[in-house]
Amino acid sequence: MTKNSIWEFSNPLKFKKLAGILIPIFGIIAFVCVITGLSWGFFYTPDDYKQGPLVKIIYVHVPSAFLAINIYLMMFLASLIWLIRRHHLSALAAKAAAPVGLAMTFIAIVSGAFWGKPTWGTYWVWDPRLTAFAILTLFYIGYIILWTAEDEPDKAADLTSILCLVGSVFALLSRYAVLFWNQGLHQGASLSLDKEKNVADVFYQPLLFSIIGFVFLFLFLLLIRMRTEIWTRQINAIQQKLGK
Amino acid sequence: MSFTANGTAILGLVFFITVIFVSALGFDINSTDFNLIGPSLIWVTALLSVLLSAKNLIQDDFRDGSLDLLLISPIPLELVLALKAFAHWISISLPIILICPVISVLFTIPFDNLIILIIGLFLGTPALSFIAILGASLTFSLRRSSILMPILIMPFYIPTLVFGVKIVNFTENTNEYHINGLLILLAITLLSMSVLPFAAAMGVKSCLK
Repeated sequence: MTKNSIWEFSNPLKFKKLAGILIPIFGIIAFVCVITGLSWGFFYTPDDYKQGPLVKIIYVHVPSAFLAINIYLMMFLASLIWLIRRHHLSALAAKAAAPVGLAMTFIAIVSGAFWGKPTWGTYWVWDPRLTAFAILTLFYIGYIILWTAEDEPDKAADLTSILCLVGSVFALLSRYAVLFWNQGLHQGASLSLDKEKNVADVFYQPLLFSIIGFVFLFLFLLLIRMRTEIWTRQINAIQQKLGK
Repeated sequence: MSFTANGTAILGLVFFITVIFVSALGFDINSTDFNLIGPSLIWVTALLSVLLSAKNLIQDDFRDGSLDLLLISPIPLELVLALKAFAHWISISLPIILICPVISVLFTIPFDNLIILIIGLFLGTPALSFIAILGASLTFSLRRSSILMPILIMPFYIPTLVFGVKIVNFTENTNEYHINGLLILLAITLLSMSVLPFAAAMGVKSCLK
């Protein structure tokens, strides 16, 4: 393995050294961006002409929904890397990411519910997007539970990776199955490369800050959780050596 | 192999009929859309029967050691698991499909809908068995596997369930629509049949390492 390649960090010691540097940096970026995005969004943008101040939920709702989906994508990639290259940190990353992803899904659903009540008149509808998120929650929960059911780390990593890979296919299928079901109340994507459909610029800029902040918050939490997991395994290994 | 397991086939069918009958009593019998509930109920109950009977697909072989023999046998494990899933389909889903015309009398399902329901079950239920074998392979060596497996596997059943129920209950009775829905069901089944035995074999192998 060549030096300076990403595989070098499969060595836990090197990873910990890097994580030690990156954790405070990511923490600061996340803190600054989230504070900027949220306070800019909450206090310095005009109210929407139809929804009034309610539109400001977007600064929590969109970033968390964005992360909820992308964290699952990241877990998919990490599981694939684990199954192909037996890269231990990759399995750890997938394990560490899952609870954060679940939390993001919850935040998206709950903030959406509070947004939906005054605007649509209901907390919950069986709308394709909402249903897809509920299904995503089930996949996250199953994944996390499977991790807790098996003590031996390598075997647990194998099983959860298989679940995650196959699960992604079926999660995608479910997404289109519920789309077939009926048309929903939820609007289309707030952010897309197609500029025409985006939200207005006034809301767009703080939203971007907020999303960047949430992404770095995720990376910050991910690295902390991975480092803790490495420590836990080292302690277990030491205890086993001591014959406890 | 799994076919002879202590009359699971008959128990599965009895379970199906009991659940259908009891939950039908839970609905308002005089309500007008009772015949709309029927297909949904049949699908959900079929799904539960498959799920509950699939728990021992691999676990029994694991406990009495025959799984190790299957692993070192000349037949690839993928094929063994695929056959197990197929046998499971014959023993659980096929009797359910065959009894559907009788059940549909209880719900006064119209004949046209019944035909589509039965074709849908034929095309869709193999996917359920193949998904179940994946769940069994992931959980057979774990503690609390009986509660774990439904939690892991239920979400996988959503696409099949949604399409299976939706094509029966669709209000516009255009043939094209039904055929498209049935083709999608078939696609899900074929996908499950081609991919899941390999994933399940991977799970079994990593558990026995």
